[in-house]
Amino acid sequence: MSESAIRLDHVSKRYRLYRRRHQSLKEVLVRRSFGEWRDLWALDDVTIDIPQGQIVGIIGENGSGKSTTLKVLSGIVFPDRGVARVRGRVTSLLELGAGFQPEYSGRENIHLYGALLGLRRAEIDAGIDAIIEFSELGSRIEDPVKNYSSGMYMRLGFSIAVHLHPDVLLIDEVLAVGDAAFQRKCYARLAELHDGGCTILLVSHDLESVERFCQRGIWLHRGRVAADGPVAETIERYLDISSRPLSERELGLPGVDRSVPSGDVHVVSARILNAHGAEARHLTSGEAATLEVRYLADAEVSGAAFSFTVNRNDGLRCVETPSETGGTYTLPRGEGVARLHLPRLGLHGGLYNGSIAIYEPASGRLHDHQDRMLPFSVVDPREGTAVAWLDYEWELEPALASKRARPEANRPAV
Amino acid sequence: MAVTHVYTRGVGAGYVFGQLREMLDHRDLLLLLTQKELKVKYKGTALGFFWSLLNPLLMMVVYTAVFTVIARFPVERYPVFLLAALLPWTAFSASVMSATNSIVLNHNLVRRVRFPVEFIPLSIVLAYVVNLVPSIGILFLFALGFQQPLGWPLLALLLLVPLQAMFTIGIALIASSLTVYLRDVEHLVTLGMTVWFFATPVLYPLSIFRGKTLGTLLQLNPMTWLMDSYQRVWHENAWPQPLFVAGYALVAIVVLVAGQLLFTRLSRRFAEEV
Repeated sequence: MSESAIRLDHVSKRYRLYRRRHQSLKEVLVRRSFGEWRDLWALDDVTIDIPQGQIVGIIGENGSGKSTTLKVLSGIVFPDRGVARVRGRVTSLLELGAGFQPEYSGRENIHLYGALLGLRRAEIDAGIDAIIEFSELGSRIEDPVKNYSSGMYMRLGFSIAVHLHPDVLLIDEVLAVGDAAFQRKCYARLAELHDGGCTILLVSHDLESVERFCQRGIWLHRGRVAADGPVAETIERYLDISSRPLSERELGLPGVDRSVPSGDVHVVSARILNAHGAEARHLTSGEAATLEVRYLADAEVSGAAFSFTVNRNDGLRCVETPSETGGTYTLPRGEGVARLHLPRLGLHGGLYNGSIAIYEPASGRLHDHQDRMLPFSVVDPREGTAVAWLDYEWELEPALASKRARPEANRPAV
Repeated sequence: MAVTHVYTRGVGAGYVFGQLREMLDHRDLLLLLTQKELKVKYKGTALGFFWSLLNPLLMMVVYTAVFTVIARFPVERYPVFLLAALLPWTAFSASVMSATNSIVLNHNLVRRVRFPVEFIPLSIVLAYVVNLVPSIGILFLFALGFQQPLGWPLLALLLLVPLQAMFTIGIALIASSLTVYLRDVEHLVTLGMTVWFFATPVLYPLSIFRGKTLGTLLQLNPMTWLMDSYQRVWHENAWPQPLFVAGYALVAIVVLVAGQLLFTRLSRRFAEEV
C-alpha cells in the first residue's frame, strides 16, 4: 500500500449540470434554490491503484471521466464519495496553457507557473535555462504568450511541467498539439522521467502513442473502469467494443455472429497495413493504408467480388469499396490474398470498424461476410468533426485574396 | 519523504491544516502575485504611485471645502484630521471591492491549476497595504506642513496597520468566496462600503455625537475603533484608546479566522462553480 503513488478508492464525482442557474441573492432568496440541475456522475465508484514508477494510459470516449480523474488527482475538484490519494509532488498539464497569463512573457509565465506549483524562486531560477532550451522558443520567450501559437503554448507548458521534478505527472491530451519531432522529444523526456521513478498518467485519444508508450491501460466508460490491464489488451478490448454501434453495445450482445452461410470462399484472416507497410490498428488520416485479406476457396469460383465496408462507432456507414466496379474475379481453388489500397485515407479522427464481404454480384450469392472484424482508430492531425475528407480545391472569381494558397493547403499536415 | 495528498468529501481539521501548510509552501507565489498587483496598478503611469494618492487628495480638497466652509466641524487642521483616516479607509474599501471579484475574474487559473486560491484576494489586500506605506510618508510631510505636533504615538501605527490588514483580509476572503456562488455580492459590497463609510467617523469626529444615541451606535462599529485610533495618533498626538485597539484586534482575529474557514469550505467547489 505504501508503494502506491496513486490510489483511488471507490471514488465517485458528481457534477451539477444546470438547466437554470440562480446566481443572484435575490433569485436564491425568492426561489429558495440555487437553480435547477441534474446530477451527472462523472466518476462512478472508480478504484485504481498505481504503483510508483508506472506509466499508465487512460483511454475512453469523450465524457467518460478521463479528465475528471486527473482533476481529482490534481486536487482541483473533490470526490463526493471515496478517497483519492497521491504521493509526492504532483504536476499536472491539464489544458493547453492552463495557468498562463496572456499579457506575461514566456519567461514571466515560467516564474508564475513554477510558483503556482509551489516552487521556491531559487528552484525556478535554477531550472529556467533548461526549460527555455527544451521549449525551443528561443528569443520568443520574451514575447507575451498571447502572441504564441497553440504549438508554442504546448511546448512551453510541457517544458515547464517536465522540468519541475514531479513525482507524479498528469497529462491530459496536450501532446497532440505539437509537431511530430517535438512529440518524439516529449516522449523521450517522459521516458527519462520514468527512469527517474516518476509515475506518469497520460490521457489521450491517440491510441497508438498510448500503446507504444504506456505499460498499462485503463479504459474508462461512463465514469467506470471498463478495463484495466496491460495496455495492448485494454486497447484491444476498447477498440473491439467501442468501434461497434452504441445500440449493439447497449444490448450487451456478446459480439457479432460471424457464422455466415458457408459459401465456397471464406476469409481466413485480415489485417490493415499502415503507410510503412506495418500491421496497424491505429491509422493516420491522409496517409496511405492497405487492407490485406487472406481467403481460402474450396472450389473454383468465377464472378467473385470483394468489398470492404467501414462503419464508424456510432453505426454510421462511412465507406464502401465494392471491387465489381473494376470487374469481377475468378478465384482458383486454394489460398489467395486480396489487397485493397487506399492511397490517402480520407477519414477524420475516430473509432471505426471494417467488415469484409466476398460475394457474386451477378447471382447475389454471398460467400462470406465478416461483419466488423477489423476495429481500428484514426488520428487526424487536423481539426474536423465530419466523417470523411475529400480531395478538393476552391477557386474564386474574382479572386480578392492576396495570397494564393498552395495546392497542398487542403491536404493533411503530415 | 514524500507528502501524501488525500482528497475526500469532508473538510476535517487535517484538511485545514494541510491548506495552511500548502500556503506556507507556496509563499513565493504570494510574493509574486503581490508584486504583480503592484506592477499592474502602476503600469504605464509615469507618476507611479502618486496616482493612488490623487484620489484621496482630491477627496480631501472637496471634503475640506465642504466641511470647513459649509458645515464647519469644530476641528482644527481639518485636512490632517481627514487624511489620517481617509487614507487607511480608502485602502480598506478599495482592496475589499477589488478582491470581491478577483476569484471570478481568475477563473482560468482556478479551474485548471491547484494552488492556494486565497492568495488571489490576499495579494490584492497586501498590495494595498504595501501602498499604504508611502501614503503614510506623504501624510507625515503633509502634517508637518500644517504644523501638526507629532510624536511617539506614531509608533501605534506599527500595530494598527497590521490589524487593519488582518481585518481586511478576513472581509476580502468572505466577500470573494461568496461572489463565486452569488454574483451580486459585488453590488452589495459596493453599497455596503458606501454606507459603512458614512457610518464611520472619517469625515467627522466621533466627538460631535458624544452623549447622543447615534454616537453610542457608532461606537459599536469596529471600523470606528480603528479610525478613531488613527485620528488620535495623527491629529491629537495621543495614544489610541486601549479598549478600542483591543476590541479591534479581537474582531480582526475573529474575522480573519472565520474568513479563512469559510473560504476553505467554499473553495472546494470553485473549479466547478466559477
